[in-house]
Amino acid sequence: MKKKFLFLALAAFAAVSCNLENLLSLNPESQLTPEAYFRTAEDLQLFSNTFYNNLLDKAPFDRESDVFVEVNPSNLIRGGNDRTVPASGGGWSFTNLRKMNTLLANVDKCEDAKAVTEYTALTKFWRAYYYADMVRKFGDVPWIDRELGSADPALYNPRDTRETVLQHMIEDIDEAIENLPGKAKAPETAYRVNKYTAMALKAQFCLFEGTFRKYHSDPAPFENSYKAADGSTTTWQEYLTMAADAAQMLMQSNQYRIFSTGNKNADYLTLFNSDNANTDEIILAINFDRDLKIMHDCSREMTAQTAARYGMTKKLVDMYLMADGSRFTDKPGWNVMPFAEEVADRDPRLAQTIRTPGYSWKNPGVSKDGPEFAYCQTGYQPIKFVQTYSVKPYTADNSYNDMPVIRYAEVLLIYAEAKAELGTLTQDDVNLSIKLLRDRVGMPNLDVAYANEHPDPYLMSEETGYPNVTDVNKGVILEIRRERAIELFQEGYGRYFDLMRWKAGYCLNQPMYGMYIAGPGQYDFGDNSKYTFYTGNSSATGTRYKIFDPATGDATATDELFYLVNPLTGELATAGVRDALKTVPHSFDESKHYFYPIPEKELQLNKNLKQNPNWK
Amino acid sequence: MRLTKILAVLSILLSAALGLQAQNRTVSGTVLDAEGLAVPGVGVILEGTSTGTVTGFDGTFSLQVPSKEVVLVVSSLGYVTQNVTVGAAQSNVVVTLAEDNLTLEETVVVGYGTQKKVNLTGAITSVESAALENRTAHNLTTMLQGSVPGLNISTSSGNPGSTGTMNIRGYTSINGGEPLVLIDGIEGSINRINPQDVASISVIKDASSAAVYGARAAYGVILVTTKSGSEDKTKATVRYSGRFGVEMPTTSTDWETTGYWSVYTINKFWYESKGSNYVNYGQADMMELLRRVNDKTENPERPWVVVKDGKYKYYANTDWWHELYNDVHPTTNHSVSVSGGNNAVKYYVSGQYDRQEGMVKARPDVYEKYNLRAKIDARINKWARVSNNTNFFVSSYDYPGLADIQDSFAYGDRHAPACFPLKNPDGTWIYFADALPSSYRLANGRHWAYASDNLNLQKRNDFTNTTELTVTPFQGLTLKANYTYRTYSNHDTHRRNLIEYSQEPGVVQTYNNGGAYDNYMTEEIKEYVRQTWNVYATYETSIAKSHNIKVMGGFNYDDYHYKRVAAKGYDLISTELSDLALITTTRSPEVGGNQSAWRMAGFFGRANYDFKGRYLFEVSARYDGSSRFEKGHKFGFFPSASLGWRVSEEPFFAPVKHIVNNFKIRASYGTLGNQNVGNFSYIRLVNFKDFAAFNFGGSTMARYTNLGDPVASDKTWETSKQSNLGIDLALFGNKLELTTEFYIRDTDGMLTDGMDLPATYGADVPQMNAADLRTKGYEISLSWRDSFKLFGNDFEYFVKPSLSQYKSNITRFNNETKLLSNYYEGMELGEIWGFHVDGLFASDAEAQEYTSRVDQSYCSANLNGGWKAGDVKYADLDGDGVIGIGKNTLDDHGDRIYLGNSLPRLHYGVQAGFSYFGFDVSAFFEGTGDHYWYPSRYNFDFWGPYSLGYPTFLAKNFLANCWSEDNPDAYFPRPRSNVASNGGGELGRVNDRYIQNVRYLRFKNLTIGYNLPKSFINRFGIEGLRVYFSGENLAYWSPIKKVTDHLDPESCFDRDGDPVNDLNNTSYPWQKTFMFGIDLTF
Repeated sequence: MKKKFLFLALAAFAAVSCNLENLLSLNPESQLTPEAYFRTAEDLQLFSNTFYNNLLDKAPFDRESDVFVEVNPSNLIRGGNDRTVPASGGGWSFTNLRKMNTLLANVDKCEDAKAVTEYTALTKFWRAYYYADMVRKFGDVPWIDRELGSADPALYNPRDTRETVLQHMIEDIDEAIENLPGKAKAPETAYRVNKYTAMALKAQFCLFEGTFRKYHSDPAPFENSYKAADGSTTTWQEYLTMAADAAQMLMQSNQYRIFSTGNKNADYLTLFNSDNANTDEIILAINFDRDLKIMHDCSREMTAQTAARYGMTKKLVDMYLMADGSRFTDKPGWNVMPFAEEVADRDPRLAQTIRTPGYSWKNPGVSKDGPEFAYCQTGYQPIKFVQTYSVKPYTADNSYNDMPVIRYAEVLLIYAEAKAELGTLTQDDVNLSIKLLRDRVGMPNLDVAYANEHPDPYLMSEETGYPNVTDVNKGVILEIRRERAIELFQEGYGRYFDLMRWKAGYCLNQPMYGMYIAGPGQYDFGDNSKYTFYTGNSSATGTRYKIFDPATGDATATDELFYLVNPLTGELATAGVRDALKTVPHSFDESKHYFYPIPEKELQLNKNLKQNPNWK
Repeated sequence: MRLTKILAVLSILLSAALGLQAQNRTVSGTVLDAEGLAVPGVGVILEGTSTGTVTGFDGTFSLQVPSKEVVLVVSSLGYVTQNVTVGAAQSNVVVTLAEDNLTLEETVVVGYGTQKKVNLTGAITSVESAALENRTAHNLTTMLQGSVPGLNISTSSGNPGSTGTMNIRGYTSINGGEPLVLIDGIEGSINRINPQDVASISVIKDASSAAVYGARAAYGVILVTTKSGSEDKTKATVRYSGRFGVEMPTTSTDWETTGYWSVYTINKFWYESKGSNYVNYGQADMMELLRRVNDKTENPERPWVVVKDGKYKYYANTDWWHELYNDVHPTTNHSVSVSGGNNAVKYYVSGQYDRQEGMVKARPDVYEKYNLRAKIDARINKWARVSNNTNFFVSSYDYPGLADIQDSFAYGDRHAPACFPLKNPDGTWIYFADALPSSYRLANGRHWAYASDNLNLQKRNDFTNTTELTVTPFQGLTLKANYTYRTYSNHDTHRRNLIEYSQEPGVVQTYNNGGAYDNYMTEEIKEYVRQTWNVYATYETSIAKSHNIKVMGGFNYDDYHYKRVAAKGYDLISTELSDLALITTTRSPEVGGNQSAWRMAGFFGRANYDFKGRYLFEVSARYDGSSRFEKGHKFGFFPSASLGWRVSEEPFFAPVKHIVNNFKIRASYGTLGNQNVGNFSYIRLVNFKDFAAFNFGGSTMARYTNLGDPVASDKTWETSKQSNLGIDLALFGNKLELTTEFYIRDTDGMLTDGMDLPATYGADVPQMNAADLRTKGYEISLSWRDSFKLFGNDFEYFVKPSLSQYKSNITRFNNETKLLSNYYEGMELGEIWGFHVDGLFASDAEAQEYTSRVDQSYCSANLNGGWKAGDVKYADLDGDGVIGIGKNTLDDHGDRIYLGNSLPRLHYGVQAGFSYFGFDVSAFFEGTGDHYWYPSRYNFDFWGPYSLGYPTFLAKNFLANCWSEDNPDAYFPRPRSNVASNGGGELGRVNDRYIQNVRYLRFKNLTIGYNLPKSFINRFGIEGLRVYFSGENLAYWSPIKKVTDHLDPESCFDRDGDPVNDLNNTSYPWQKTFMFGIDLTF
């Protein structure tokens, strides 16, 4: 009995142990494993949806700029000691890149060959989009095209050169242009990436690269930065040609046009404060939707006292031409002109970009008011993305007008700029591009020959312009920069990176002034707004501002101090332009600020990673 | 029960008080053991009475007995009890006691078997049913609190149905870890069994004893064995126990109830921080409140609600607490059991009903539970038995309110100063009020919610059925195979309604915020199924009567499955009825669900060897597999070994054996695993989600998928390596027993962020087995039992103190700079760092002078108008002129210093009692040593309006504790609201002035009982009848009582760190219980 028993027990033991590994293998029943996913076009689309959400900047406007300032500017604008090497983060993130590489690694599991091609192209579009941003910020960056394991030595690679990365980006974007579908069906048209979006992106980053190399040519910011690992290189002229070609390809596709109903005083603004993106002009937009509570804060940010009191700077206001095409800065007394007079008879885009007399935000006919210093510190109060009052967009996060990411106007500007920087811009080129933008607002066309003969001193000046433009055709280059600053104000990836590629960081050191005030007294900036400015103790009621009196040095007033400076000397005065950033330092350091610093932690973790020049 | 029986019981009670039997001669004697040595501490009792005595050191005794022939019952632990007849003329006896093999056979339940207590080599504490039967606490964890050294139990709530959480030997793992609870060998919930069913509880503390449970036993095992029928009780034993009583808070509920002082105080605090009043009352309103300051009830001449400009104004003196809550609330318990058996069949059947009514006044919250257990064991033939064990548990908690009951306490404790009543004179509810800031609503609507048709019902049930076959093919070998099916489920129903309120006479408004104030209901059902198979064999033999060998081995397999279904429907057509059948579909119903599973399988074995009971060896091991790890990492091997030396059995020990009855030294070492990770955490699962705010132009939010974070490929078991050293001593005839344990437990390979990776990795750093922890501690338990004669009757008494302490340190963690915000190597768990406070500023001048030198802006949130007299003065310990935390590392900690430890590392308990003449009294105290708590930022009970500024329940005369020019030595600083609630405020920063020592001593239980004399009740066919009073949580003593009597020290912990959803304001109070009971056995 004993023996029999032991034998039986051993047999049972053996039987169980053989099957144990299988017995203990379970699969989740309410979640998919990666093996079961990436099978259908829908799987790929759902996975790639994250790229839109994660990569598009949903903050509704370009807030870091020399022509658009806030009460407390970001450290990027403050520069100086306010820009420091972060401990971690600071934009040095590869999370989204990893997701793209995950999709590319799994895409072949999909049985739908068409979907494989399309979503490979889409992912490569986003990879180029991601790298365009990384290169803009950091210069040389590591090129990673696969999911790295936690023990992968490639984690500790040094950075790849800018040229290496650009060559990969061009491969990616060319594949995207080739394989992405055309415009999506409504209602997704403006919200999905298509082959034209890819053309626009290519034009965008090639323009960036071309102008960057042209202006930062000597020497390259990093050793061998402009050379690939195999020693090959691409010249700035070649990049600019690629930019112009990509723009031209898009222009010739006839898929997009400049939106116009013929109303030169309204069409430009309509494009930005409408609920839904115009699919004729806007190539890619972020959808905002009141019903789904997908909303942004733009209207409130521009119209609330509690917000950052954004304002356009006087430098940009002065750049707007007169309605007849002549220069405002050629007019006598342009620098000390009262507001109402200053904004009269200008390029119609000015009145569609900032609040000018006659603009009615609140219910038409009920209330008309001019700019409000409590909302806007420069007095030039932006309205470009402000929705109408009736939908109460002024409460927090209650705006739902779509935000453009790339629009056709930018493509036209890229085309003109690339050609101009190459020195090949003709009047015909202008007629195909800049003229279309001018036509919408009823402005005279840009005359290439005239511009080159009469470069604008305002745009060449060290105080307000770009003194490092020295080409023979600098006249027209400056005019295109004017056009770009005006047309794309508050939009896109922004003015900041324009300055970086033009090697014009010094623009951030230029004065950021506000409106001219002729000294103590009462003013009416709109149709019925009353402002009182005074220097001493005043019992006047209404909206009151106390002008800082340099003679008495009065600094104890409880009213908000209003610093006025002489626009020419920058000295404190009782009559002059408002220096809204009087107490805020802003200094751009040419030796290092063209690149973002790499976070401290990353340098410690990867000894092969070197900090950008002069950052400590 | 028949009337006659009740009368019988009453007459028993009466006659018990009658006189004693006359004693009129003395018998003296000596008790010797088999070797002729005197045996001290032997009980000598006159048969049939409770008269008796105990032998002295020399083994002698003397006793008063009646003059006729008597029988003495001579008994002692470890010896066979003898009945000695003493003739009428005999006055001296010599009794020789034989060693009692049965007592030596006294066993303790261990994993997959039992072990002789004397042969134990591991650290196991056993609690017998007698220690639990008389307790009236509602669940086992509460009863066990403080009774087993090293078993630390804390309660996290005072609401009906709340239970304790258990932890064996201190801090287990940074990822948590609880003891494995096995009920009759099957994993179960300790609080779902009827305490009256418990025969014994073994608390297994060290690795060697737990080794047979491998990967589930890293933090100890609790083996609960339930009662069974007995073979020799052919007559059924019926036992009934009934208890009735009340519960009430352990803390004071006496709050400020005058509108004037309530508004005055709150406004004073609010104004100092915000420059405005919280209750928007001007001078005239305050005068109105002052007129009524002494009105306990509304005086018709001075109405509490007044209509002004068409709107209500409120000048009440409302006792909000007692409007919302009943302090005293009833509780009941009934249990009954029937057991019996014979050689062929044994049975035990029991049932229990337990009801606790809660504190909510409008519609009390009620917790009810039912237990049913049925055990039957039948002989199949000479060598096989079959048994079945069924446990069924049902509970329901039905409570009013908007969410969790704790949430109601927490949020009802806001925005209801005493000047507001609950309702307007026309019976409409008050919700929005003009005098309240516009974003705040009276009591957050909780007063309405308690009385509304809102419903919250939590139903739990648990069914376990085990069938076991026991085969004994030949002498020494036992084979057991069992299968258990356990299913348990949670069923939660919530019902919400719209609130109707009024701000002006005749106008009733409805509030619908689409959230808690909306018409909808939700139902959620979670179902769990567990199946367990065990097969094991035990073989026992003895060679040459000296070498005792016992071998056990077997296989265990566990299968677990979980499924959840949830639904939510809107706009029910009735407010009183709550069923998804009543929803209307104007708004789409919502559904959801998920499921999960795991499996474990393991081979286990144990071998014991002892030589003449003197040298003891044990080895055990388990080879465990879990579905929770990737192929190749599923299995772990967990061995252990232990040995013991019974020094007292050595021949050389004989001379002192009569004093030291037992002396054993034992040591053990072993490894256990912890499979406490997610069921599928080794797979990168695909998650489907809706974007928070993104779409592509359609009418719904866009969806997306993502892949779970990358997983370290070598992720595996957390292991716990434990060594234990124990000493057992028994002295003076086993009157004094002492057990001490010392242990070291290394928890290795705790899952944490393994190592920092460059950002180019592009994902969260995978969890790796990269942190270690060491816990060291000791346990001491002592027991003294004796009896003496008092006025001719036996006075038996006992004292059982116990003490345990531990300390846990991180021994490996990836935190090179030793940031204090994370674990770091060398850190003792529970460390609290904070600032030193140099008192309060005596004058404005001192405040300004000091803060001009020392920048206090680190703690200046809500500082309105600069530092002033009465504000907290933070010491600039590092002398850098700035109050700050430096780099927040161990080396550079700025002005912060180590203030104390938050973990209750020292626990103690004392049980003592006596029985005399049928009466028995026992008392139980338990407590903790120094441990500290910095009051949570939102804790109104501690901070009052220093926290959010608008507590409903404001301590009476709160201002007396606050600084003022007339009260410069006050405990609290200058009144300012929101300085504690804001982490950057002067009280929000942890400091040594306001940190609280929350050690406590609790009078946990007092039981006074009376057993009616058997001789009397037997006449009525009753075997036992006991009446008793029992009180639980009767009192506590703690340093925190000096500051507030509104906080039970056990309630002093941070409930959740999230200030947006903070439940720290006020919690359901801890309760004390007074109960009367009757136990009847026949």
